[in-house]
Parts: sequence; structure tokens; C-alpha cells
Amino acid sequence: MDLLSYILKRVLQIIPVFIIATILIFFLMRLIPGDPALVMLGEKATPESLALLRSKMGLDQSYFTQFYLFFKNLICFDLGTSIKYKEPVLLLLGDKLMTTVWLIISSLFFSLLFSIIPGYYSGIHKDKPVDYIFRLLSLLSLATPAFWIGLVLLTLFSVQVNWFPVSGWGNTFEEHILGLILPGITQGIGVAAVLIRNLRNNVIDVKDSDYVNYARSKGLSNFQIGIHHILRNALIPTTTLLSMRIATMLSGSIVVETVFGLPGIGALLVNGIYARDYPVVQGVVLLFVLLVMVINLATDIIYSFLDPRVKLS
Amino acid sequence: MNTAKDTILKVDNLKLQFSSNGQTLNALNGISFSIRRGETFGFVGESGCGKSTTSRAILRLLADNAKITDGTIYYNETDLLKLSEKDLRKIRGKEIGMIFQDPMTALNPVLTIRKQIFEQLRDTKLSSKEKEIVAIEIMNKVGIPLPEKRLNEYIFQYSGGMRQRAMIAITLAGNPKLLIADEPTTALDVTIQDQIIKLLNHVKEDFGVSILLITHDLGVVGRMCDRVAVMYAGYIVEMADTYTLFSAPRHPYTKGLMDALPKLPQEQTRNEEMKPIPGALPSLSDLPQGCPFVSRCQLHQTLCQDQLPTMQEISPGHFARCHYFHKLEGCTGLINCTKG
Ligand SMILES: Nc1ncnc2c1ncn2[C@@H]1O[C@H](COP(=O)(O)OP(=O)(O)OP(=O)(O)O)[C@@H](O)[C@H]1O
Ligand SMILES: [Mg+2]
Repeated sequence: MDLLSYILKRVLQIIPVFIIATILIFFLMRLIPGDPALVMLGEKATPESLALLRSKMGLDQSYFTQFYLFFKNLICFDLGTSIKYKEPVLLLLGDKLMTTVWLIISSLFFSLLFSIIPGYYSGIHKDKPVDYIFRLLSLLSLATPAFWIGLVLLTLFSVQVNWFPVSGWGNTFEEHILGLILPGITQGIGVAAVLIRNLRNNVIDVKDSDYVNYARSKGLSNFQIGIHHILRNALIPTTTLLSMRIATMLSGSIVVETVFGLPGIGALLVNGIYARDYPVVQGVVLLFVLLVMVINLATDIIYSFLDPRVKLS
Repeated sequence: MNTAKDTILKVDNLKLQFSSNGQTLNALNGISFSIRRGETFGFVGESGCGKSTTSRAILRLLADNAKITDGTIYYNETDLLKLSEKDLRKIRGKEIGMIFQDPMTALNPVLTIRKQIFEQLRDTKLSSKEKEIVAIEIMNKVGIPLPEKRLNEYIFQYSGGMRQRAMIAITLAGNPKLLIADEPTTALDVTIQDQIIKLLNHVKEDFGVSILLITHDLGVVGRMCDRVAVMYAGYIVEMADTYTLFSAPRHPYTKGLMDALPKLPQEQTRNEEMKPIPGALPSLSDLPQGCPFVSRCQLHQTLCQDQLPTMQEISPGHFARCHYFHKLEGCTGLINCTKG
């Protein structure tokens, strides 16, 4: 099957999943106790003004009517207007999405940076001191919560030595890069811990395989064998794991964006929940769902390139 | 030097041990043999006797727990055991190439055949166009149809018979002078086995290589080898040219291997894997002080228990490691030798 028709087929498959997700999200949101009108007007608001606001927001209608309206608008790419920010949710999302995407790219970069070389050497030198050290380190970082790592990094590198901003990611490209390093490391460390263990085991499986021995018998250097024969094969299963981790990174961004004051969709979600800002929360969660599905599709396509034995179907 | 002009490989008194779980396994116990330029030299013996270990020791492609404790391995005038890893890499692939048993596991599953052939041409000054021409020529020579197309495929896309040809092509691309083939036909079905034997015999002439062939199939030995060594428990117990060995075996183990084959000459011609001789290989961690074959030997006497026999030259070029080889005089073994 050619790539284009495969992608088309997968996109069509996304639609029903997306609809089910929409229904779930809408009704689960309504189960959260609290009244957005009350949050907006404060404790001292009169019942009359509350009722007025609620009817203005359509909150006095039945859930099914509300859902019908919500879904009808959704089809026209209208996610409603934020209660808190008084702006269309779609614009808000578009505004914050890039921050989160860049945060994830930075996290990906650091998780690969921290995992490929340690995972490879751990596997090659199985049960030797290097292996023990990397295994201990990855166990430690698995046991350490991201927000704590983030706070420690902030204290050390932003407060003590002032290398990085304490909060936010500035306005210029350079400031963006600078502002993304610590959050990326924070997320990257946790993901790398998982990747190291996986890659180590894959390297152990591969390094004594026939084809590595055959490559040796061809007189290739350790570097060529390491890259083209060992890593090339050992990284295939790790790719799948990494793609599942990207989905986790999305929810991880909620914590990391809050700690580092990054204006991303994770932070938007947190603020939205506090304000019972239904449209914003719905919008963010739907976006997460969509992103996860797109990432899955991308992974399957990448996987088929990495492993020619796998056919897209 | 140690090596006569017509000898390409000379192994002398090679000893190798594996350490596993605190035990020492004496896998090779003083292996000596030499391969002449242009000949096919066979290694036979039952599973676990050390055939693969010998072949891997030559290029030092050994597991981490292996240790060569004694001996020399001369390739032409160079002692391979004295070479650094870096210098040995210049021998691997380019002077001595290997063919493994199962191409499905020995070739990298996610690299194209092109890439794996090009790896062998890495140190040539050829452009990638020229490398492609070389690759196609080799694929033609080993009988792979449509090489232009098949070059871009992966090993899993090849059919059974073509797979072993692909590995042979990759190995030959390094232009080795000595080919070590470890059970190259064992994983194949009968008709394909036949084709690969013919191909290897043809390759020997065409590329002017010498071959070290490892097999446990006497039929393959008969069709390919000029000379043979029979291995048992890390020892060479008998060595001769194929005709002599097949017509006048002088070690009871060799004799046993031949007796285990069906009797009618027509049935002996091929694919007769060795049937086990009663008893089992002695434990390599606890070899008897005398002859390693003593527990399974019908000729054995007290001398065999006390003293390890030496390799004795029975007739020119025919060696056997047995105190009582003369008791086998007049014994004829197999006559069906298609070579020699
Ligand atoms: N890495 C290792 N560690 C411990 N023992 C080993 C190791 N490799 C091989 N051996 C042992 O060394 C002996 C010789 O093995 P080898 O693979 O050379 O036998 P072989 O003659 O090639 O047998 P086969 O016909 O099964 O391939 C066997 O007893 C085997 O168990
Ligand atoms: Mg073997």
C-alpha cells in the first residue's frame, strides 16, 4: 500500500475515536463539582446575577442541549469562547500550542541525548561497572518526580548562577531556546531513565547476534558495527517506547510548564480547571487526544522505515 | 619463516579455554593443521567438538569468556595471534572471509544487500557507481538473477536458495583469499544444498580462493574437500586427504562415523548426517588424562586410559591419534569419494 492512501485510511480511522473522546470529555467535565459562574463572580455574588450569567453562558440548558450546541460548533472548528480570557478557545490554543510543541521537542532532544550513549554502553558492557552506574542513575531518576528535578535545576542554574530565566521563555528566539533548556532537561531525565533500560536490553540482545559477528568478520570498525549493526537494530523497539513516552510528555508538560512558567497548553489547562473554564478545558483535552493520535500515526510510519520487514497496512 | 610458500594458513598447537560458571572448558587442546593454497580443507566431527570455535579463533571472533592459551596461527607469514585488533581488522573480510550457517540470521535484517556489499568495498577508491558495477558483477557470478533489482532488497525478501548466495556474494566482495565456511549447507534443503556445493566449488576456481569447510556431513566432505581433519573433543584425531580417509580410516572414531552411515554405496552419496556412536563426548571441563575417545572406543586397552596418544604419521600425509591404529589396517571405510 502506498504511503498516501495509508495516511488517508488512518486519518479516517481517527474520526470515530475523536467523536467518542469528545463525548467522554464533555460529560466528564460536567461531573467536576463547581460552578463557573460562581468562580467568575466570586462568593459574594447575588443569586440574580449568577442566574443571569449562567443563562448567558448556556449553563441553564440541559446537558444534551449543551452537548448538541458544543458538537455543532466543533464541526465548524468553533470551540467556544473562554470564560476566563473572553477569547475564542481556538485562538488561545493556537497561541499556546507552539510553546508546548517546542517543549516536547526539547524534551525529546534531551531524553535521546541522555539515553543513547548510556544505554549503548550499558548493554555493551553488561554487568561491568559502567553498566551498574548507568542502571543506578536511571533507577534514581525514575524515582525522582519531575517537579522536584525542575525545582532543583531552577534553584541551581537560574537562581544561583543565573544562566537561565527563572520563569517564562522571553520574546526572542534566543530567549526561547534558553527558556526551553531546563524544562527539556527536566522532562528528558525521566524519559531517558526508561529509554536507557530498554535500549540496554536491546543492545544485549543484538550484540552477540549472528549478524553482528558476521559484520565483525568483515573487518568493520567497532564504530561502524556500533552504529550500523548494533544501534540500528537495537533502536527499533526503543522508537515505539519513545513514541508512547511522547504522549506521557504531553501530560508531563502540565507540571513542567507550571514549574517553569511556560505559556503552553499544559499551563492553560491548569488555569482552565481552576476557573472551571469548560470550553478551555474541553479544547485542551481534545487537542491532546488529537496530538496523541497524530503521534501514533507518525510513529507507525517512521517504524516502517526503520524496519523494512514491517508493512504498513 | 614458519610457512611454506604453498601454505596459506598454518595453525599450530592451538589451545583455547572457555570459562563458564567458574568452570574451565578445554574447548581446543592443541589443534594443528595447515591449508594449502587453492585447496578445500574440511573439518568434520559431531556437535560440540570445537569446529566453530577453531574457525572463530582464526579471526579472533570469540566470545568474551574465551581465552587462547597457546599456539600460533600463521596466515602466510603473519602470526594472527600477535596482531593488534586494528591490524587484524585488515585481515578480516579482505584476506579471510567467513560464510555462516544461516543467512537469515547472519545478514543484517534492516540493511539492504547493496549496503552490506558496499561495506566490503569501503576502503576501495571506487565511486558509488563503480561499487554498484562491482556488486552487480559479483551477484551475477554467484547466480543471483536480476542483480540490479535485488541489490536494493533486504535478506527477508530473498528466497531460500538465493539467501545463501547473497551471503556468499557479500563475503566475496571483500575479495578474500581464504574462505571459512561454517556449515554453509546445513540449514538448506537437499536441492539447494546441492546447488550451493556446486557454487562453492565453482567459486573456488573462479575467485582463486582456498576454503576451510566446516561440516558434520561426510557427503559434503566427499564432494568438496581435498583434505579433511576429523575432530573429537577439541582434538584432531585423524587427518588425511579425502580419498585416503574415506578408503582407509585409521582412527576408531572416524571408522565409527562411517559405519554409522547406511551401507549401500548408492545411499551413501549425500546428506548422510553422522549418526551418533554409542556414548557421548567427554565433559570438556574434565577430560580424561588418556585418550579422549576411550570411553566409547571398542579397541581400548589400559594404555589408552593412561596416556594420550600422539598424532602419528601412518603414511605420507595421513595422521591418526590412536595407540592401536594398526588394528584398523585393511579396514576400508567408505569408497564413494567423488573427489581425488
Ligand atoms: N561462549 C562459550 N562459552 C562456553 N562454552 C562454549 C562457548 N562457545 C562454545 N562453547 C563450548 O565449546 C564446545 C565447542 O563448541 P563449538 O561451537 O566449537 O562446536 P561445533 O563443533 O561447532 O559444534 P556444532 O556442530 O554444534 O556447531 C562446545 O562444548 C560448546 O558448548
Ligand atoms: Mg558449529
